[in-house]
Amino acid sequence: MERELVLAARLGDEVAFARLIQEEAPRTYRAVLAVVRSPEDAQEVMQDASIRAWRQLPGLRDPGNWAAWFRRIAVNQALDRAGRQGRIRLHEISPDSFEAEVGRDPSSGWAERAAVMAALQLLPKEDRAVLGLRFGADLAVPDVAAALAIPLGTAKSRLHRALGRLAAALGDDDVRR
Amino acid sequence: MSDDESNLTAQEERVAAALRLTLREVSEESPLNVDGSAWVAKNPRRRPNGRRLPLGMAAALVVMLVGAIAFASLPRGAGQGSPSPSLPGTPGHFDNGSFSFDYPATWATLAGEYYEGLASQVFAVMGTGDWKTGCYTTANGGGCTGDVVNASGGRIVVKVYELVGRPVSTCGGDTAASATLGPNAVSKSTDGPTTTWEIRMPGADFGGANNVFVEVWAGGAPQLAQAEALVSSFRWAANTTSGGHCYSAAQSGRYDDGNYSFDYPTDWLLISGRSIATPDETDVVLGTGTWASGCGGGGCTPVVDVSGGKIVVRVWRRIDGPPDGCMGYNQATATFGPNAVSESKEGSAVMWQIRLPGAEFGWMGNVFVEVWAGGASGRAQAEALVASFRWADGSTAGGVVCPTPTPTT
Repeated sequence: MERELVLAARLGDEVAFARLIQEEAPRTYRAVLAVVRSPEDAQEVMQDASIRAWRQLPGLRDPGNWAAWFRRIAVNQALDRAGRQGRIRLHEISPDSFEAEVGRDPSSGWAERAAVMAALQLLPKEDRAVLGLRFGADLAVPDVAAALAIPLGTAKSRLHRALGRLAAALGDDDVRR
Repeated sequence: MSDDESNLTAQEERVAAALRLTLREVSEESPLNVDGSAWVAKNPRRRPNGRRLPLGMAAALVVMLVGAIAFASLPRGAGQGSPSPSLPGTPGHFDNGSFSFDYPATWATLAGEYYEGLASQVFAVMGTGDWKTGCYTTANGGGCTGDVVNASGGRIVVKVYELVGRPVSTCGGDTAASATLGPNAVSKSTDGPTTTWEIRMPGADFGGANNVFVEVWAGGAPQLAQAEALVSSFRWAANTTSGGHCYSAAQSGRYDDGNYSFDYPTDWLLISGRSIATPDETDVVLGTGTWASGCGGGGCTPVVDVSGGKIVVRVWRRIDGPPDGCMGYNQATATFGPNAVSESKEGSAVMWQIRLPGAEFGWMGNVFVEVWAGGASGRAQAEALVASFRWADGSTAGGVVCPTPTPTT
């Protein structure tokens, strides 16, 4: 089905392309979110990635590789944006901002989420990418490797390293159980 | 837990679970709307007035995605009971900062700016006839089937739009006009009841992105004359240059895609725009020669002609992953201006790799300037390009800063 949609989209079928995006975007969005950390930035990255995918679709040689190809575009867009973010905008979601969330339901888990998102900012963006793809997009490690165009062994070692760094950034007591 | 997670330590499992839950909850709290207008409304990204974005690509991309994701972005039209939308400019004179034209002030505005799927951005629909958009939305997306128009009885409907998202291609040299209206050499076509004039952006080919189309349903000869008068009055804003893929570099001279910038000689042409052939992403190909990617069958073998002293420069990035950590790959082999680069040969081309600030050679995101030069002067031009190369402010290698390169002895 996906293959047919890709073939149709390559011929200019906008509805087919929209269905491809609808299918893949939500999980990729979570991965992108891990990289750029700001939902607004993540949504813009997804916009840009979708546009780029549409433009580059005629160049996709293997229609069966659509999902990995789109994820790669999105993650690279996210890494690009993260590189430009520097460390200026990294406190958009942080424990500090929790103080301003007057009226937010304390049971909503906001503080815990903020802690995790703040911890992510301490990691290199490449670590965030591998974590986002693995645990945000829920991809198997081989698919993570494909999305990042890196060898499987590299993906595994990077994942292990990133988890360790995230654990250190959180501190064991801060990890949501 | 998947097989992949069976090897995680208890601590890693806890971290992974926390991260998975957090990303899911944050994404649910700020959901990605992939099929409605809400996403567009949340991120209004409008074309800047005046000069176009670098190479016009960003603007075209944004416009197209708005269409791609939000088929619901239908015209703010003057339907029954709806107020007439306002147009930029003054009554009788449309001006959106990018271009302007005159029209009879007695015409009604039938629609303001909207997007037609992936294909086009409409700037205005106006006239004295009846008009209804052919665009629709469904649960699965939407599409456009063509306008429903009635201009009978000496009435007229005029639609002004541009096509967006056209595939990047090389310059075709299609500049032969089929009509001239006022100062505007245009390409005129007819299709059933409609007459369309394509107005080239300065420097662009017919068929290029960002050209403006004036499509007319005329109920008679007087109405067609009115449309011709509109086209005759059409003017691009000062300093407007082609945002598409084919333009004379004499109108530019500095490339800037937001990530980095560099100067290039004003007699160079833009040969190709952005394209991906994993593991490379070409940002731009410039020069005086010809170039084709030669991609196919799992690889790319560029086809280049720089005979007669011509030159082709391809600027690209590698989009696979960087090495793990700083490995000491920081020895530059050449320096141009302030840029210490790694020089290598790739077939008949010479290639200079420019590191992201903080990165080492070989890292993802580094920029490669690949040059095919048909003569010594071409090589000098390329070196000047590299010397003028600058990363955008704030560019980093993910916050990593590898040790400062040791000068080559």
